[in-house]
Amino acid sequence: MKTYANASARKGFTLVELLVVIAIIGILIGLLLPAVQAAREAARRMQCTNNIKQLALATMNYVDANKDTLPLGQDCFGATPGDGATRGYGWRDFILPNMEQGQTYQLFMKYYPSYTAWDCPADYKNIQITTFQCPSDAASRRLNGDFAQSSYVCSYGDYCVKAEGWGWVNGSAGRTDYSRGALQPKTWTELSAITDGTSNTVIYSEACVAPSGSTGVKGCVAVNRADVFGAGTGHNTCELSGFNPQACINLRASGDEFISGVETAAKRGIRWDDGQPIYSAFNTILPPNSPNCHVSNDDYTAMLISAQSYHSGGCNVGMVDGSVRFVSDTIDCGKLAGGLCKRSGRSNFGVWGAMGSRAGGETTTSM
Amino acid sequence: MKKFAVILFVCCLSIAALGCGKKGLSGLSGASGVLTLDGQPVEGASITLWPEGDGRSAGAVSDAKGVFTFQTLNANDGVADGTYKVTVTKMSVENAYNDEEAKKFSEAGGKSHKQVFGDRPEPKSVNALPQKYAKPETSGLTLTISGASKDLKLELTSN
Repeated sequence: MKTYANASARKGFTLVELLVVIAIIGILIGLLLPAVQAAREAARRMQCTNNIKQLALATMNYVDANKDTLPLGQDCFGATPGDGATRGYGWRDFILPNMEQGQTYQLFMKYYPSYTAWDCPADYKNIQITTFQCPSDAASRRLNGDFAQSSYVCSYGDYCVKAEGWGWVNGSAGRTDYSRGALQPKTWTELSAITDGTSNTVIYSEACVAPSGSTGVKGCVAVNRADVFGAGTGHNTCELSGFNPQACINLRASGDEFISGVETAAKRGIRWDDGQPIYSAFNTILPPNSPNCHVSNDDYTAMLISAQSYHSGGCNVGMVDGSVRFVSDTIDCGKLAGGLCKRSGRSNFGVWGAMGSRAGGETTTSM
Repeated sequence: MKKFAVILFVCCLSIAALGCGKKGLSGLSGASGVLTLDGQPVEGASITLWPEGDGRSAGAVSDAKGVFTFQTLNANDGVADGTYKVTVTKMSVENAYNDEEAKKFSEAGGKSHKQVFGDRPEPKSVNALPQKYAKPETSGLTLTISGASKDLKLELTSN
């Protein structure tokens, strides 16, 4: 006599068994697929970490070869640092001989200082150096016109670069470009001036390269943002009341876009050889992956430029001593509303600001 | 047994769905409302929430109907519970450089506006809303956020 169980065993799977099998396959695919994708991105992020480490180590080589000074963030072509018209070159050009790019550096010296970073011959400005390109940032490997591009930017600390007055108001005579970070425009930082400690002070991070014609938060800069930089003319700087970094975050819409009506410029990282802040620096005021905002639409005046990456949840950040950390988007940045920049003392921008300043005197306990 | 299998199936799906969570700040609640000046909705105003005590600031930009939705770090991610002072500005830049002028200024290598453009008026920022709303000490506006809310009101007056 056949039992019920035997009969069903011969007919095939029961509905229950089928559901269980589908469920198990489902969970395996569900676990596996994201894991595979994450592994690829993890590899790219690791390569990116390595690039930043190479740049930080090259900088330490530079320090050893140049009387314990760090490279200029942006050059000073003049009688004394601070008073000359810039030729626009920056730290990426100056550390070339220390990162085994001696030939490229020879070419640079051929054109410097006769040409500026933007009008120099294409055979220099189109040189692609993979150490300057983050593998997660596809745009960084393309040319933008004649320019090769770069994903890596140097820290000007918790201070709005080019912030001595509005550039157009404050004439060149009274102008000093200022930085609280490891590198400075037009002034060499001495290693001994990094009193917060070389392992606590940021030197490099990432910036998404802006694909030409793009308008998104990653790589583009919102221009003519008087709401961020305050009302009136005169010496309106990031040190004065009216400066409001939160207003820049307000401009963010979903999907890494700006809200409608915001004028943008696709500028971040698009010239590898250009040391002007919009192409080669960032500040540690807004947390990683925040929008960029600029008081004007030229390359000079005060700007809030953020570290940005295509890695999930944060950015790779290199410290002066050559260590590399991953900094989360949610890092403490203090009260952003009305947070003011200052020239000395503890940063107003939380842990992120403290990491940026080279001599803020903060104790960095949690990162 | 069939019931067990169905439950198992649903559990598996929900575990898989857990992997799709978005990173960001936790403990925020959605808060939105309408901004008016003398009863008329204001478009394109930048609103900032200044926390009293510790905490993160938040803000929003009002749309064509004066509607704002607060965000702390990411788009529409909300705001933490607490009491905030509120500032509102609607800024624009007069005599802003056009693209050609911006390029000319940038490539002048660090000269001042006057050296590059002579008598052309300098760019200047202007606030279309009463200036008292620009500072937390003078705005007189406060908002208390506790949990999600959709009907916040910010009513400004010209005088």
